[in-house]
Amino acid sequence: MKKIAIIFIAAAIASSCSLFLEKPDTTGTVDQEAVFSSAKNAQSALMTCYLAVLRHGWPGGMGIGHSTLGALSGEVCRGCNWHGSYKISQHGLTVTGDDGSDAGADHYGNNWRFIRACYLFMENVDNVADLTAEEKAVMKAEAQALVAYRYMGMFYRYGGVPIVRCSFNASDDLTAGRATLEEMVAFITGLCDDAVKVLPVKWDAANVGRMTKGAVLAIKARTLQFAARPLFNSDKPYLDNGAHNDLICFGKADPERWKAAIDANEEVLKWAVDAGVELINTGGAGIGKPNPNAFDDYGRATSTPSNPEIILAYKMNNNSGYEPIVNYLNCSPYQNHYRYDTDCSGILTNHLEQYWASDGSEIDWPTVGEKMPRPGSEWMAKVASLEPRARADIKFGGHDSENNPGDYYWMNSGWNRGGYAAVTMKNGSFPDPVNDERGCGERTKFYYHAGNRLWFEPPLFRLAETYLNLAEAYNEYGNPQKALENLNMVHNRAGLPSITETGKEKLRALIQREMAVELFQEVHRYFDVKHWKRADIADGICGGPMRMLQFLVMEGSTWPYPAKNVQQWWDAVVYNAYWSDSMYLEPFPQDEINKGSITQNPGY
Amino acid sequence: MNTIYRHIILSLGALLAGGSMLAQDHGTAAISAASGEDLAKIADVSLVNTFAGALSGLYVMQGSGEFGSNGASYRIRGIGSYGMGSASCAKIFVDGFEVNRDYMDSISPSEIETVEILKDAAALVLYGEKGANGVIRITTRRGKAGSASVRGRVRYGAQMPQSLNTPLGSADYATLYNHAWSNDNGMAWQPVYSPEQIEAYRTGRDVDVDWYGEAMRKVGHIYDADVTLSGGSEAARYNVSLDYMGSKGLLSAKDTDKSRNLGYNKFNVRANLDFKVLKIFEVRLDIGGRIEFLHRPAYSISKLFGNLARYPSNIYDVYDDGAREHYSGTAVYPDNPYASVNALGWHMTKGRSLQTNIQVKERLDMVTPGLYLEEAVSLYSRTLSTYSKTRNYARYYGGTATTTDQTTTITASGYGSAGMDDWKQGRLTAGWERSFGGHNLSAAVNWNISAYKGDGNFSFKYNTLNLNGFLRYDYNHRYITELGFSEFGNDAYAKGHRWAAYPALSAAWVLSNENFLKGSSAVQDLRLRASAGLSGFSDSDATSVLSGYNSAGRFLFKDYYTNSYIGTFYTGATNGTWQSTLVPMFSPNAGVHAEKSLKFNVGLDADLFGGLHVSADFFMDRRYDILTLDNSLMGYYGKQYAFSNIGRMSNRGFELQILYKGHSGDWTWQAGGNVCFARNRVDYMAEVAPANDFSAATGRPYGTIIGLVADGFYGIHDLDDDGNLVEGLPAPSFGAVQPGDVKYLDLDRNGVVDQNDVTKIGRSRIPEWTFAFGGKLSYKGFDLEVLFSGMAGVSVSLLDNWDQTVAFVDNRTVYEIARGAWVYYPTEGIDNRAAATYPRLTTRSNENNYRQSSLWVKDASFIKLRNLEIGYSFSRFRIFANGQNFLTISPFKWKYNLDPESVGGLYPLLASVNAGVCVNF
Repeated sequence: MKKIAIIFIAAAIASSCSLFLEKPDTTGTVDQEAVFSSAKNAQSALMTCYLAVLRHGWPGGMGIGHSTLGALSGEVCRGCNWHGSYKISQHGLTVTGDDGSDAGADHYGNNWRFIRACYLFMENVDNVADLTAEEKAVMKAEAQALVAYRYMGMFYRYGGVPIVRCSFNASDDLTAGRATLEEMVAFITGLCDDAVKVLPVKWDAANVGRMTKGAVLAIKARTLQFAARPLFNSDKPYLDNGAHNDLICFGKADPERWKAAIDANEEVLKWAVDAGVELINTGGAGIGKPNPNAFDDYGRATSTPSNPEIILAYKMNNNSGYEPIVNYLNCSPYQNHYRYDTDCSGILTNHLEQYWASDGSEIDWPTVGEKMPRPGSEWMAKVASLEPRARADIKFGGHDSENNPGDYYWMNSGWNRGGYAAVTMKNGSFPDPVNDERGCGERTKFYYHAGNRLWFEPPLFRLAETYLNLAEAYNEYGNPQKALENLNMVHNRAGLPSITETGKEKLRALIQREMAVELFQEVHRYFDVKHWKRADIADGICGGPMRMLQFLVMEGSTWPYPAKNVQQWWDAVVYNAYWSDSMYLEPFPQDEINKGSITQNPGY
Repeated sequence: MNTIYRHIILSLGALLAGGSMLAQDHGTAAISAASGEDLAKIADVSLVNTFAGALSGLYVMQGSGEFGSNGASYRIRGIGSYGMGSASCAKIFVDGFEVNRDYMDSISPSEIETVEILKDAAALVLYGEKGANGVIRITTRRGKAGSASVRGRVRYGAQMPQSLNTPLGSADYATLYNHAWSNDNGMAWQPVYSPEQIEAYRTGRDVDVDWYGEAMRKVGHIYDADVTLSGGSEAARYNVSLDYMGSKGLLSAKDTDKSRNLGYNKFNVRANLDFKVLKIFEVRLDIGGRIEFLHRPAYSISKLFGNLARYPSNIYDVYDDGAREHYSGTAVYPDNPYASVNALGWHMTKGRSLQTNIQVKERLDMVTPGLYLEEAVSLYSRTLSTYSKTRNYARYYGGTATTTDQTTTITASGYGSAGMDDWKQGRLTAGWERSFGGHNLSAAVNWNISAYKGDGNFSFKYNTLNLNGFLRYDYNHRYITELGFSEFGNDAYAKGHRWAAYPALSAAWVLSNENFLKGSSAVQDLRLRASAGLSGFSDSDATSVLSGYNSAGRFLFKDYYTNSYIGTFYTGATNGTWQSTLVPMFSPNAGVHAEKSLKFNVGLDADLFGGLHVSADFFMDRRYDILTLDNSLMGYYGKQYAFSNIGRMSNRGFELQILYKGHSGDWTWQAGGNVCFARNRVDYMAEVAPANDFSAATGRPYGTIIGLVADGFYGIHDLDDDGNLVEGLPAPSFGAVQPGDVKYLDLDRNGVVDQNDVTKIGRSRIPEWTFAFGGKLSYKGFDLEVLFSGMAGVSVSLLDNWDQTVAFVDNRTVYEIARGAWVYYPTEGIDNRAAATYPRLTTRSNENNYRQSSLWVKDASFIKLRNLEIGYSFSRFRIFANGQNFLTISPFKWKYNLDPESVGGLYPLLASVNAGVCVNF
């Protein structure tokens, strides 16, 4: 009897033990099956892709840790000494990374992490029951567009990178090498061509911010623009890469690449008409005339969420929490959590000189080596003479920010850290710098009429870029008239009289200057100047002397010193930034090279 | 587990030296043991701290002396696997059932009969996936039939820091600050503090506060009392013990309603009862419970010690005003250390736990002789709650408030749960043992079930099943062989990988039972042992990269997503619509399973010449299938977090224990020691091959410190007038350098010093050698005993104590070590270039100097006097006095005034002087 009982108990235990060892249902969170079982969850997974993919190049934790890429391309000061930008300006891009990057100024590994998330989405969204086939197709196209966006970013950072077409398993063969530039262009434009067929022209009000036909066309247009620029579109590469020159150079300077860029950008303009996206120009002066509302129009175009000039913006309106972008771009006293992240990012004279006077003329700024400092009274006059974009982009030393008139925290008196390189009682400082962090003022771009709103929506594609791309491409393709037409769309909108220069070289310089001003701090210049192969890249753009205006203020002035108290001012070199020709493209992480299936870019 | 062949050679008097505390489970396994009586000698609120030196092969590294969070780690025979973290050391079993570390830590030594360390495959075979890192097996005291006995002990001790590294005073601070400031400003002499100011500091006319002295008191207290009642008849036996232990810490706060010193109070009750019922039933009922209270000031102790380490002496006085109404505090130094302890109120954690075990054994000799069955159940539960009374104080400086803090009255707040867990375990056993002539056979099969429930997403539930058993054959007590196995089921893994088999085979030859040695006067006992077998381990630290989602290596077969920890995304034209985000956490791998350990051991035990015991073991542990984050996958694989069982490591070494006992007339003496050497090697851990082979961690012992090789300091001729390095010197890539900065070797000779030049610059933080030795001498009623323990072949980096090493940076203060700084101001007559041992001082962060290099890595070997005790026994009493941990022999300590066991500058480890009385009726 006892034996029978034992056998019975043993049998019962044996049958229940498989259940006993089942993973508890409350463990962890949701698994992939659950994610792709409901529309709500699937949408959440897609939004993760948006959140991660579109951050590329913007500061804060997902690449270069602190400061902006503008600090590496002559826009603003290099940042504090723990910022990646500071270190890179000291010793160049490294294969082990600085301050959050895994190499150079990017986080190479994250690119692939985010691209994988997109592929996982594409591969699994068909399992969702409560989405229509049409909705699934659109969401897949969105994920595809996000892959294209990230590949576009890697294209102009690294040249050729491995082409990934699905989410890998660890057991898959992972020995793919880097693709050639030709293959990269074909892959990215292929993704765009597929996605554009499916995506909507525009989204309803609640879904603005998601990928549209226009956004995909803009990805394609920018990709082709970079493909046409001389860094890649050349007979020989910037540094010899042995047998792998096709990873960093097309091997032939082909003007028809500019034609392809023109066509792609014109497509964007065509879409813009259908989508109601336009260059904001409300002054009513007509084409070819300076826009009287330039300050407000430029302010809206760069700052107002979901304004009509935006093709695609990065919509993460976090004020705090996980590495909000505002820590690095909002310099006003409203941003009181992480002030030190913007403390050492004053405007460089190198950038200030790009702006025009409001009548379209040049401004006579102090230069290094002048015998005498400039008299203080001249400072306010120079600022007053600047074009509207300068006054929207910058809170000049001792001045109120014009972006938020009447708001105490945006005024000089409320700007409690001074905001410019000014001291009292330092007679004899000239011609040396009195401060190597603040320069002539601090950034206010993206904060037109923002008041106490900390967040802003970083513009990823603005129609102004499309016009400027066209100006550049037409000029290079030998059509200066069309180039001027497009250039002046932007130039006139900024309240400036038309440019009429038709000489190719001179016009190229003007177009590049227009891009430097219009796209200030929008994560363009760091890549543009490299791909333009500017001859002076090591002389005050990415490398070389970085200059800042210095101010001596009357004794007895009270902090923060008003501009009227400036006694003397002058320009000074505050640091020399490091440059080496290897830095035209980003390095891959040393770890990645050591694994043996991809090759490093030359010079690292 | 049955016990018939257990040969425990125990309680060799009170010798703590761990010599010969060797127990053999069935005669074939490597086990060391100590008695509760021995452990009770060390006055410590944490049981694990009493193990140091007492158990051969066990290495205990204390973390801090703070009650309730000492963070000691304990490892057996070095470290066998890199795949486990600090929390997953050896597993702990009390009376056959697993407990967690918190439970073990608070067991009173008076409850304990023995603590055994299970080390080889033969000893660990039954433990399956719990066994690979060794097992600490604790057996509690049981009553013995016979006359009733009462035993009691009362003890009091005074506790002091073993070492306390305090900063320089204001005058020295100011002097060195002048160097640092001038170094930062073009190396032109620009003193911030005038000679008059420094003189004022020196003479005490200006602020010079010893913050350690303000926040701490010199002496703490420990007191405990226990009483054990034991006795009974063959039919019913009992052992009931009651223990109280209390401790008051080293903080200056008084115990009032408004403030509390760090303190700990613990009440343990245990009743172990044995009954014999109806001849065939043997019933055991064990109930062990306790209540614990831990209180401290309402300011984190680790934060307090961070502040103490960082705040300079000259920042302000404790009070800002003469009336002593306003505490000082500034924006840079907001938390006045004295006020942190005295003016913020207090915080308390209460713990309650209960373990109840019931075991019934039926002897079924009427079915077939030697057959028995056992059924056992263990229920354990523990609850932690917190309670606090807090207030705040306004910070003043120069008569004005400097922060927004305001003085508030004390309010009760913060009652809450601090976690709870429970553990249900059960066992069914069928066993049989029989002797036929010289042939002794025994066998048993156990069915173990374990269900643990805790808090949290992934550590919420752990279920395991373990079908294990053994078959043993022993011929004439001369040849013993045993085959054991565990078939272990674990819920952490996918179907198909849940079950794994762990066999072990062992044998012993008892030479002393052979005819040629029987009756030998020289050899009382001599045996050779050998074992080989497999064990496993299922906890893993690899998933700690998932930070808040760490699953300890569990459930990696599922493709989990989590709510985004990187924020949310918005869509919409105006204010935006919140869109939640879901992120994939890791790539699933259905093949993940437990780590495996193949262990080999040969050993020898001998009792010779009537007083000498020798025990020696050689061991080897080959670890494979270690769960590893696969770093070798290419980046475009797309996910950093791919885990698989690809790691390998090996560990080998030896243990030796010697004990000698002798007596002559009224004198008896014992002396002995043990030593354990273990050297491991990481064979494969999917490390990305570094640029240079000499930088690799693979192929070296786990934890080997890798860094740059320092090559002195830059001299004034190494840089030209523009501050550029002269031609020919390799360029450091950690920012601009100036004279006095650390110079590094360019090992790969590419002209640049960077992270590609790192190599082995020290040993591991896990020691290769651990040892203990001591002795005991008695004469009539007097006894004197001494125990030392220590370790060697171990390195630490001074940068692990960043606050006390890196002077001035981020407004820190300065320590003795910075007096060795490179400095050169010929106009001031200051020149320490030749004797420099520390880089030039700076007030700014410095990437070049303060990075892991051979400049900072030091040998941390030491010997500590664990116990020196004198006692006198008379009638039924013994009075004793002892001193513990008050002597450390360590060049590292002498040089840097840091405790080699705890370099972090946390709450100090404690030395104590104790006295007490034991009574036995």
